[in-house]
Amino acid sequence: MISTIYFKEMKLFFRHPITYLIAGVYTLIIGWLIFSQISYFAQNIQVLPTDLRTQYDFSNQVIIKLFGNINFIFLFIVPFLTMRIFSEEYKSGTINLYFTSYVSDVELVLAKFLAAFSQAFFLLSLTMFFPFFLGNLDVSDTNFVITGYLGLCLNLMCYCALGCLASALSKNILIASIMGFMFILVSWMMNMFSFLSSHYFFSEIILFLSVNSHFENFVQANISISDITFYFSFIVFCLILLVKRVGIRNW
Amino acid sequence: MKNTIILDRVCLEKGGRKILKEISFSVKSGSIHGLLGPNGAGKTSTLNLIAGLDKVSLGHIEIFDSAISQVQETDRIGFLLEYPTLYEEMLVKEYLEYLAKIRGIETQKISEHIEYCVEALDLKDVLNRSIENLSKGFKQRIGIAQAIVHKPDLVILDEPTVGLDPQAVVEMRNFILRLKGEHTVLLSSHLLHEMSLVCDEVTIISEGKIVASGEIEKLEERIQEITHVELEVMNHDDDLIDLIENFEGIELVKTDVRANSLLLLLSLTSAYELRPKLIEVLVEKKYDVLKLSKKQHSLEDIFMKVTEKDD
Repeated sequence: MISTIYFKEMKLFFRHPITYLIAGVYTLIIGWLIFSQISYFAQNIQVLPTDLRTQYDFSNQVIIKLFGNINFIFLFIVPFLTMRIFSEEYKSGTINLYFTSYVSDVELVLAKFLAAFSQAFFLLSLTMFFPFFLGNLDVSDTNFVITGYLGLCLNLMCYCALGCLASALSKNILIASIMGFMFILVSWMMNMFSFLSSHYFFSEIILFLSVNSHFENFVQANISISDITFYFSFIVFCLILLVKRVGIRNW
Repeated sequence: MKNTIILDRVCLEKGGRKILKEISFSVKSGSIHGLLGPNGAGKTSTLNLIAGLDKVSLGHIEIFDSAISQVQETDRIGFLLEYPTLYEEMLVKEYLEYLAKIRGIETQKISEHIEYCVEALDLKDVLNRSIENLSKGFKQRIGIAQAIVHKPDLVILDEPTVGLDPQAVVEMRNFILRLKGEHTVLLSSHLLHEMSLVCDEVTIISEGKIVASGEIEKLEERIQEITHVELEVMNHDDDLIDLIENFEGIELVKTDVRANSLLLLLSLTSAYELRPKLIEVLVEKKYDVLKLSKKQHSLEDIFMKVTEKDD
């Protein structure tokens, strides 16, 4: 059942002209960012004395910044991708087709979540030319690139889970997208809130709950078990809430 | 005859508002059962409960001899909501294939099930067309196709004729009649005439309560406390009115002057059949009687009578 719903979602996604519009605009922005960051790096390194050039690290100056920018762009794209996924089904009543079928709530939620993530991953995959491009320049840092993309994938999973949850909370697509954006923004900015607490323990908890603080570890190729545990727990928690929401049927 | 659905003192409460108040009725297997009621009476809520889309607050629903809370036999129920639930971007064939898959039909049997829908609803010409480009009538047919694609035993149709043109209404009526016997059909509609043409039994619901349930003929008998008779006379005059008004056991209710005749609606207050005596007097007085017949109560009369509020 999961694959049936998943492929239907993907088929409709690729059939929609707006998909290609988003993909086009997104690729244009990423292409421009890559170009400008590399050219900025090249300009800066040329003015540095030769002995300091080796300290001016390409990974820190280009790769890490670029992954941060891609992450930031997805903050806006994911709510756009996920806003319709449940909201439209509730609005049009097509959600009842699943409620009167053999599809369980868990299967429905998993299929929709995987479809949302695949759609986001499709957009992310459009930037995959970037490592090849770096490879040709002979400046590629494979570790940073691999962990960066892995971190981005996990971040996208979290964003998609939050976006799907927001979509299931409102029949209005616009409200669903705004809610999705707010949810993702809060998870994104959580590490900034940690400085508001003077208490070390609370500050650490808030920092741990921030998606971005874990993402930074991935981008710096500094992955730990706690990062992976966090991502896994975060996604599962959101999906459980989503299954509970779907279980309420029509409210 | 065995019952497919039994509702026993079912209550539904939402947001502190009682939507259904102890409703009880049953639907016989293989029959067409109509659910009638004014807007907001609770028809859709009742159908949603039977389809398992809502949970009963109190009471008991039995479908196919099993309590609905215990067994939700989705493969045996087909449901058309008030508005067709369609994926407009899909092709008709694609949509039906998808529905067949999520209803658990084996892959090798899907084309056979789609063929069944195409034949039953005459969808051959639109099978490869996008749903969004189809007329409302076709969209309604596809909505019904999704409800029967898995060949369920029970088909629930919520307002299947709403928004359809007269020709499409007739087609829909014929289609519903074709379902009879093979499927048990429970439908709600505002078109009382249509309901009287297709339904074996009706249940009338008003303000969340059942006000009448049973065969249309029996409900008719129930409201016929006073027998009404229609009398049409060609060569009428004032004496005729005097004659009727002075006739013992007959009360003149309404007169309707037509182009070449006078139509009188009479109520027979006597326990005895007065029609033979009345016609004898009229023939004796040389009146040309065109019609003297007992007035048949339509489903509309029954509906109005049972849903009228006590002042």
